Amino acid sequence: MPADSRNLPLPFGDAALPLAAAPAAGLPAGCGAQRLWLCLQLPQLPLEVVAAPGEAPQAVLAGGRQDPVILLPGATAAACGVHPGMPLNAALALLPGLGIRQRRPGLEQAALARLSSWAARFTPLVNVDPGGDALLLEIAASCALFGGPAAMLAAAVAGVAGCGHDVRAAIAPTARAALWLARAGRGQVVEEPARLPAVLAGMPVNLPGWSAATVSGLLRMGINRLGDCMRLPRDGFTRRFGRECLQEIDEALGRRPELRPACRQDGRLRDDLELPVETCDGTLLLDALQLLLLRLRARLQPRQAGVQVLWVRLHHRAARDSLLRIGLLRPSIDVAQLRELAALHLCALRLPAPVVALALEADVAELPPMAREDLLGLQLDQGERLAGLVERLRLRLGIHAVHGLRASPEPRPERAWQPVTDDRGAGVAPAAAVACGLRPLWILTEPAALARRGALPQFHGPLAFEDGPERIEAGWWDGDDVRRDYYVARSPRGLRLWVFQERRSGRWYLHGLFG
Amino acid sequence: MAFQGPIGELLQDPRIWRAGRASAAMARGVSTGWPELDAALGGGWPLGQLTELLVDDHGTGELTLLLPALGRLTAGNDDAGGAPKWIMLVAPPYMPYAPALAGAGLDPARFLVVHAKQAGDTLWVMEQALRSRTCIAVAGWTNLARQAPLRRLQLAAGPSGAWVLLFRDARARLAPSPAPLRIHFMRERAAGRARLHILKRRGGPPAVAAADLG
Repeated sequence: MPADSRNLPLPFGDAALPLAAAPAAGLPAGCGAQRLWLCLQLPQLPLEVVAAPGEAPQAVLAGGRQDPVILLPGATAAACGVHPGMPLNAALALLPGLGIRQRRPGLEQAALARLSSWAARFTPLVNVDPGGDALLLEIAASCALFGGPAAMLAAAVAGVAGCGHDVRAAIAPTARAALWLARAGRGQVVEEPARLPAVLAGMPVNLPGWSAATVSGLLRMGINRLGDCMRLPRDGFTRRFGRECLQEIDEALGRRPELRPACRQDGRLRDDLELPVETCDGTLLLDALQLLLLRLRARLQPRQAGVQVLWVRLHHRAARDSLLRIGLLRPSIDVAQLRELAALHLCALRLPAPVVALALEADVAELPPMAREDLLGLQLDQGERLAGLVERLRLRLGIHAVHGLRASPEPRPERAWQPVTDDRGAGVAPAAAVACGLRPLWILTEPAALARRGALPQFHGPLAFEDGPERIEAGWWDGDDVRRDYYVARSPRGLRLWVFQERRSGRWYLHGLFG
Repeated sequence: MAFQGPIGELLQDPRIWRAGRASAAMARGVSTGWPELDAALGGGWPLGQLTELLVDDHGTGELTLLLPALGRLTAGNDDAGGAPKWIMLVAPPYMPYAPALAGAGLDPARFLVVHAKQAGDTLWVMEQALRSRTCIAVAGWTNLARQAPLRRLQLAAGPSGAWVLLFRDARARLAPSPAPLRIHFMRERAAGRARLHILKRRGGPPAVAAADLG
C-alpha cells in the first residue's frame, strides 16, 4: 500500500482527501457563491428528431454498416421487446414492420441549440452537455425569480415538453450530479451540497455512462452502486478502471471543479426544417416558414433581440437552392410581418423544382426600445409604420426604387441633391441653402442633349429665352469641373425649361423643367 | 339666409348638401393658395379623397400649383405636434429637385420618391402608402388607371385623411373615373396663367378657374 493516504475511504472527512490531480481543488465547494444546476435531459432526442409523425413502430440505428445495432427503440417497439443494443436482424425478426431510421447527429445538435437559446430565458449560463443529450442551466441566482427551484423545474419541464420533447430534469449543486440525477429520472431537487454523497451513493453504476467494459467489470466485482465506488481504495480503483471514473465522481460531489462554458449566443442564428412532402405550394411553404419563424422568435425573445436580415433558403432535390433575402430597416420579431414580407418575396420567385426543405438564417440585432402604444393599442410610432411601408415597397419594386431627398450646399446642380436610401440622414439638419439663381422643380438625372438649328437650341421647336445666363463654373478642385451658362427658356408648347450651354463645346443641354 | 333652431342644426350636418352651394359639405380641405381656385373648389384641395389632375404635358406648372398647399399641410402637421408625416411622389416623370423644394420653403427630407417598375405599380404603391397612414400627401403619375384599382384608391383615401393626387394624361378626361374631383390643367400661352377646367366635383356643376403661377 502506498505511503500516502489516497486509500482513505471517502466518507471519512472530505478535508483529508488529497486531490493532487485537481489544481484548483476545493474551489467550487469552498469558496464563492453556491451554485445550483438544473439539468434538462432528453432521453428520446435521437428518435424525436428523425421520427415521422403517425408511423408505426420506429427505432434509431447506431453503428456502422457491418453490424448495425438498435440505439433507441420507440415506445411501441420497446413494448414488443426491442431494446437498445439489440442487433438489427434480431429486432427485425421480432418486429418485421419496424421503421428504421439512421441517427442524425446534426439534427440533434440543432435541436439542442434551439433549446439552449430558449432556455436563456431562465439564466444566462446555459451549457450543452458534451454527451449531446442534455442542457445544464446554472440557476442559483435566478431561481428566486421563478418561484424557487421546484417551480422553476416544473416550468422548464413544461416548456421543453411543449416543444415536443420527452424530458427528464433534476436540480443539484453540481452540474454532473444534476445530470446523473436527471438520468435517474426521478425529478429530484437537491439543494444542499451536504446531501449529495448520500443521494449519489444509491445510484447504479451504469448511470454515469461509463464505457461498457468498465460497467461490466464493476458489476462482475459486485460493485453495483456509486457508493461502493466511493468506498473503494482510490489507487486500486484508478489502476483497474482509469482515473476518469473517480474524477467524475469528485466532480459530482463538488470536490473537483468542472468546466461548463456557457453557450455562445452569436449574431447569426440558423434553423432548418424538412418538409413532410415536396411542394411548390406557396401556402404550405409559408406555413412551414411560419413554424421556423416562431421557433426563431422563441430563441430571440429572451435576448430581447430581433431579426435584421433574414435569409430563407429553399432546397430542391434536383436544382440549385433558391434564396430569399428579407432585409428590415429596423430589427423585428413580428412573425406576421416577416411572413407577409416572405409572401411578397415568394410571389416574385419562380421555383425551379418542388421544395424539399427550408433553411433559415437570421442576422440578429438588438431590438429598438419598445414601440409606444396608446390606450387603444394603436401604435403611435410613425417611424415604425414608415419602415414597414418602405420594406413592402422595396420588396416589390427593388431596393433603389424608394428613396428620400436631401439638398446639399454644392454649386454644381447635379450634385446639389442626393437620394437618401436609409434613415441615417433623417436627423441631419437641412443644409444651409447656397445662394443661387432660379432653380427648377424637376431635374433630369442626366442632362439631355438638345438639337440645334443655327445657333439656337430646339425643344418642340425654337426656344424663347426668358432669363439668363447664370454662369456656373465649379468643380476644378476635384477634377470634375463644369463650365456652363444656364438659361430659363420657354418651349413653343409652353414648357418652362432650364437649359445650359457648355462653354467648352458650345453644345446645348436640357437639365430641368420648372414644372 | 340663416336658419334658427333644429333646422339650423340639421343643416350643419356634413352629410346634408344644399343644392346650389358648391361643396358646402366639404369638411376637410387645404387652401390651394389661389383664391379663385379655392372658391371653385369650395375651400381648397379636398383631403381624404382622390383628386385627378389631367395634364397635357409634364412640366407645364402643375407642380408649382401644388406648392402652397404642400407648405400649409406640412406646417399644419408640425403644429399638430404629432410625428412628421411624409409627402410621397410615386413614379414622377422627372426627379424632384431638392434645392428648388428647399427654396420653396419645403423640407426635402419630408419627400419620399418611389419609382415604379411597371405602369400598374403606381396605384398599388399609392394604396399601400395610404393604408400605412404615414403620408400627409400622396401624388402619383400614371397613364394606366383601370377602374378597380382607382376605386380601391378612392376607398383607401377616405380613412387616411391624406391629400391624394393622381396625374393622368389629358386624353383620359373622356374616360369615366370614380375620383370625386377631376381637373383638367391647361397652361395658357401667355406667361404665368393656368386655366383649370373642373370637369367633375362634388356638389356643383363643372366650372373653370384660373391660377396665376407667376
